Amino acid sequence: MAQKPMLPELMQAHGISRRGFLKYCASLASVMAVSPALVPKIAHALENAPRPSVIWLSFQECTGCTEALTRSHAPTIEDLIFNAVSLDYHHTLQAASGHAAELAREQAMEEHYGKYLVVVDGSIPIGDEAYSCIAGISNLQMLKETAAGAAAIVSMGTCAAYGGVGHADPNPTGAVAVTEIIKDKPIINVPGCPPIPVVMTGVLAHFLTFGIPELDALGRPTAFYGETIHDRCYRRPFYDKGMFAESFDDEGARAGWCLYKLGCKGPTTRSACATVKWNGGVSFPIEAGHPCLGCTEPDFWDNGGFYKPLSVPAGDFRKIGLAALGAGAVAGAAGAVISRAGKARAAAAHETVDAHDLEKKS
Amino acid sequence: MQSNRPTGGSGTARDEVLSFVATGNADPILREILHALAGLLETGAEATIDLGAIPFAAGDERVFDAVLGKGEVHAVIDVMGKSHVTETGIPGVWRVDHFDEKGETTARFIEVTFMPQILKTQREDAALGYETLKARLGEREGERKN
Repeated sequence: MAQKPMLPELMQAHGISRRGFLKYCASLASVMAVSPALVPKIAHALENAPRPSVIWLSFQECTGCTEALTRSHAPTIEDLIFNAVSLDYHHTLQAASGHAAELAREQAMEEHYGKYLVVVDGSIPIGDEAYSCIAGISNLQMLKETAAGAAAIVSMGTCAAYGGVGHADPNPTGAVAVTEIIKDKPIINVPGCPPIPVVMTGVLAHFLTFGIPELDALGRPTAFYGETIHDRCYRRPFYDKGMFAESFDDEGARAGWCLYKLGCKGPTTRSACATVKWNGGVSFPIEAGHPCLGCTEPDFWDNGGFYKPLSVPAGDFRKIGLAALGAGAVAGAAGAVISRAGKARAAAAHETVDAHDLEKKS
Repeated sequence: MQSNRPTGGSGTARDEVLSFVATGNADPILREILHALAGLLETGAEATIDLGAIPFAAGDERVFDAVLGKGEVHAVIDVMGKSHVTETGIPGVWRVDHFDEKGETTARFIEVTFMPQILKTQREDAALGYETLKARLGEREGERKN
């Protein structure tokens, strides 16, 4: 494979000045959520690091992760990041298909054995491997043979990180996460349905400049998943003051109050949505008036309902929880019932909690 | 990395109310800036604060603008989208806001420095400029001879 130019050379060829390169590095530091003091180190790494080969494997997925990534990267930063790596295989994006595409993957593996980065989106069916094959190769087989020579693996999206929607009950294909199969390689989980585009590119940039980022217990980069959405939500002051929307069209909703009672999973969801935001930093679901679904957490599809408040577990969980309550808590629940009676319209559409429930929760 | 002005509904009255909602983060950041400015004066140490990493509501921006105010310098850099480099009303405290070619915010910083690095002509660019000017003068020389 021909030696590809380094990033500064690419930028110069596109008429971008050194000042532009510094701007790029500063923006990259912000995207990677690292200290601005590291900008010179980022610049140095980008100037000197070899461009790693990237093999992107898409398994049981909806292409949403790739869509999110490509739709957002068109202007500058992410585009340059992709110029800074050598994307040697991505069967959704590459022109080649079938055996020609597989040949590209095999060549990249052979030429960069032990050094390439594998990115996976989608879950892997192990109940019956025939559920998902590419060029006659099962996802399980392709993952194992590609991972063997990888320096590291990035599980992009909730499906690759935790199994995602494929893994949701009743999981007909026996879908599992990458971590269930590969045990001997560093794996970075970048969950989200899809993940925030700049988080995806930020993780790749971090690998390019500083190697494997610091990860939490679920394998997620702490720079992007270190805090809950609730911690950083601009509606947090309303939560702190006990001001909650009770339904999607009440006065509280119109006034932009906290969506906790409408099922917001922000308090238990670790993601950078509230700071990095979506659509080029325009907004994020809570800002658009919808509760967080908790898509960066394991099994979020099966966590009892998107519109069930966290303090009122849904279905069987709710029964178990109520049965476990002591007498004092029961009195509190009674207060909640009385309160709900006064909010008939909202209660008709969903279950709500009030201050008593919140007290129990805390 | 962008304005945290709440949206999701309409009505100027509501927007007006929300513009006062604050997370309380403005004051600690202003204290950090004060500390950094003292460091700049004492030792020359520069400091940069990434505003994209901090939750800011519209009310925080309001406090920020009121305390820092507007200064004498506002430069616009036109490379890979616009960058606005503005000295606040507190000399030595700069706001550096980067935007991409679509006008979307890519990064927002407070820089405590005598001169933001990005405003200076970079050595590599100056070297390229030298070569460019030399070539252009060579072309003019050639045209004269013809």
